[in-house]
Amino acid sequence: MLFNSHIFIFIFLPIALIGYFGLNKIQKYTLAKYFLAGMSLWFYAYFNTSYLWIILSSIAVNYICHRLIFSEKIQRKNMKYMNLILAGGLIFDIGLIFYYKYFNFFIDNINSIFKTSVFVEAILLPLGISFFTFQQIAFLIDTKRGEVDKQPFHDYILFVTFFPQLIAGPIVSHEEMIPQFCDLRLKRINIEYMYSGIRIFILGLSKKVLIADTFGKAVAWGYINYDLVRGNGGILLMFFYVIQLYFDFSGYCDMARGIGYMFNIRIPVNFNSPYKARNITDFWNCWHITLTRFFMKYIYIPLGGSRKGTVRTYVNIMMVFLVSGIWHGAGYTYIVWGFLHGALNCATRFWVRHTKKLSEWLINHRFLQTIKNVSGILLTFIFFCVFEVVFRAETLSQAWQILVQSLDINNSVGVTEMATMFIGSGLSYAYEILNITGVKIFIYLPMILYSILVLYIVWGCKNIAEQEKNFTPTLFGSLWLSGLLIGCIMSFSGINIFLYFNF
Amino acid sequence: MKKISHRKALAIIGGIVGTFLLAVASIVIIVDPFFQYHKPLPFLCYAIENQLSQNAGLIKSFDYDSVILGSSMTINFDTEVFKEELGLNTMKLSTNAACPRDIDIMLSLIRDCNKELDAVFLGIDPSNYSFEPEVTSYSYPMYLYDNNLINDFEYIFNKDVIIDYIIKPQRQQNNTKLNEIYWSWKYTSYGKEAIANTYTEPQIAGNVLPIDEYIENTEYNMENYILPHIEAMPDTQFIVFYPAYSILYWYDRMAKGDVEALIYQTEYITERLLQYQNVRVFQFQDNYDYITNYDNYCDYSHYRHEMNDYMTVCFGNGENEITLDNYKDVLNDMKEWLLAFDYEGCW
Repeated sequence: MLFNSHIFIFIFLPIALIGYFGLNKIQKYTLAKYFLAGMSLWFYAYFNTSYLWIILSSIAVNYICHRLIFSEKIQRKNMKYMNLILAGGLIFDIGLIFYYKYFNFFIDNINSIFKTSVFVEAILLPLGISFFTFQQIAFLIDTKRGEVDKQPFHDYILFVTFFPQLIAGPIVSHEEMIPQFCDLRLKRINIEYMYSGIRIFILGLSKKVLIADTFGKAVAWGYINYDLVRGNGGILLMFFYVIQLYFDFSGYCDMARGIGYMFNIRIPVNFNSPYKARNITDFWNCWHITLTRFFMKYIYIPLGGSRKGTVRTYVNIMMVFLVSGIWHGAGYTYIVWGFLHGALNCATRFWVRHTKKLSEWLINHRFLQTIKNVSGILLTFIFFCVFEVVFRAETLSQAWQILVQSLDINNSVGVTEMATMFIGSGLSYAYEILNITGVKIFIYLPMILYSILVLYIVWGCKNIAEQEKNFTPTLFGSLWLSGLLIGCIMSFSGINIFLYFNF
Repeated sequence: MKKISHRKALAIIGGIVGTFLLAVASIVIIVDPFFQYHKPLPFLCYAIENQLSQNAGLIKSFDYDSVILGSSMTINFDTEVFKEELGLNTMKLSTNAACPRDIDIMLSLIRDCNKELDAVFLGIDPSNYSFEPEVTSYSYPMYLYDNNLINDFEYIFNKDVIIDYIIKPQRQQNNTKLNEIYWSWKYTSYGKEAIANTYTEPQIAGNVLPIDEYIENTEYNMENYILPHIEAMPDTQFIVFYPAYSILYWYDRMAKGDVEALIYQTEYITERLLQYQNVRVFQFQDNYDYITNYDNYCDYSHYRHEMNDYMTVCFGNGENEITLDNYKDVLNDMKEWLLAFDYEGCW
């Protein structure tokens, strides 16, 4: 189920809230947790019930491993046995994710390298498998490290399935969530939290529906017609895609946090104005924060982090980003994308280490410092725009073609076509009434205004997490939120028309 | 800025959003531009132009005793001609690029709505009958094709519905006549110049596909999407027809090397259909004078509406009908003619 759907807003969410707080009110706390976990499974399996068995078996195996590791007998007597259980759990988790996410890619490569023709039916990727698997891997490792207490099943299943963060993160940790599920002070409706939650949800929903989806139409056109797009068209395509990506993903995470608030549960912030980052290292501390945190804790630091010398540090950074690339998807584009980010991180680290004196000198020269900061922000953003072409493209050659064609600044192709994607049905009809359909400036105006708006939001505004510290309700704010919610609800579904006249 | 309490803020948001949505829902349900709940209201204008979204309502809410199903080759039928020639009250339910699964969706809904039909006029484009199972021509708004009120939210709270199908038709006083729905001929040019806008002459490479290339998928599609309906509606006559594409269509198929495979597939479909007493089949593809005259076409396949009218007359008088006795000969003659035609000099 999607947050940006009528069934979620009108049916699912009210039932979940009423049921959860209703059961808590009559002090059926455990039942309330099972109820919320059950609702989460409905949410998860809404599009495909076969997903249910995958997540349930994953939960069952991981929970059994957790309990086995915890069993006193093992803890006291046999460390090797405990390691064996952990290894078994990890093999299961990684095997599950490998099978569903990478097996087709693996077989394709085998066929390509060994000139074989092994055929495997396309395996349907279960929603959010990377998220709930990583969450459970972290939980198992922490159990082994002694950082987790023995958890009852109702807390564990709710921790894994809690629907706001189930299919697209953030990747939450047990110490963030389970204590909140158990806190009796959080079992009653809190009107302030409810307001904050609804506010954050509406703002996140607007980011997704009103901004990301609008830019997404232009991006979809650009990537379908990538062989046509040139010059400014290509540059705009790159820009539009990173805007779509940011507003889509951060909008989703905001919605997740908003829903969490409604249930009195604080879900960690996953985005902290990443496009304001002054270098790529800074960027990754602000973009998909919980994934970076996972990689730091469970890959970078166990590999030695920066404690084993300069070369090893760079190798570890490259490892983390290669794993990150593979985590994002099965394909060479993702691997190259990970490599590019890793390389830029290493280069940034090298630069920062070797320009310390320059940085210290700049502290006393405010103007130069500002220039350095602004150029850092711009450069980071431009690098990200370029790297995301590789991320979004279907093949490396497609990405390369888009990048090369974008340099053809003497020929600008695709700008007008992408501009028309910003003209929705309402505006199109307004143009018709005003008899300005086809007038050049009005074709470009919505695209220009949208772009100015997102530039302002990205670089000129505090992000939602920063704003929420001062969420005082006002009359104007309530009217504004009502308008946004109405706009979103009315935009969830459109009407398809035929694009082609063909039999 | 005036501060208010959290409770009041929530009440304001809930009140405004609730009131607005209630008003929108009332308007959409009363006007019902997709005919999900009732027939059109006589004092309002309705634009019927969206096959995917409006066919469902045409099936659910209108009165008719026969339907036209098929691809864009059926959109220029005039149901008034059906009334005059065949005495039927026919509803046109064309779907551009219709595949067997599209036809299945329409017929299933007709049966779910317990509509009694005297006849189903089904245009078959054989090349679309070899598509993979489950393939539909376009993505359907399935929430309109069921009787589940919960998913009607997508119809009721939809700005495109409000703007394009409620406000626009009233303002433009655009009221589509039922016999004219989906017509394209009024807005299309015909002849070689018009065809040239979308046509590129192919190169015949000389490769030929195996004759049974399309049979496996066609068999699946017929047995799962078409024949079960014919069997379940024994009192309904199924009038099936193969539309008359221009010679340029066949030129393309020659270049692809599948003319023989297509004819063999057509033969297979015809044979399966003619096993049923309630099926009649008409073949219009072999009207050679017609299909070689570019003035009759707007592109390489779509003909003038006069052809639709002619086909309607034929359904009444039996002209162009093929039977179990002659279908193989008719299709074989056509294959020989198509293979012998001088394509490279025809454009």
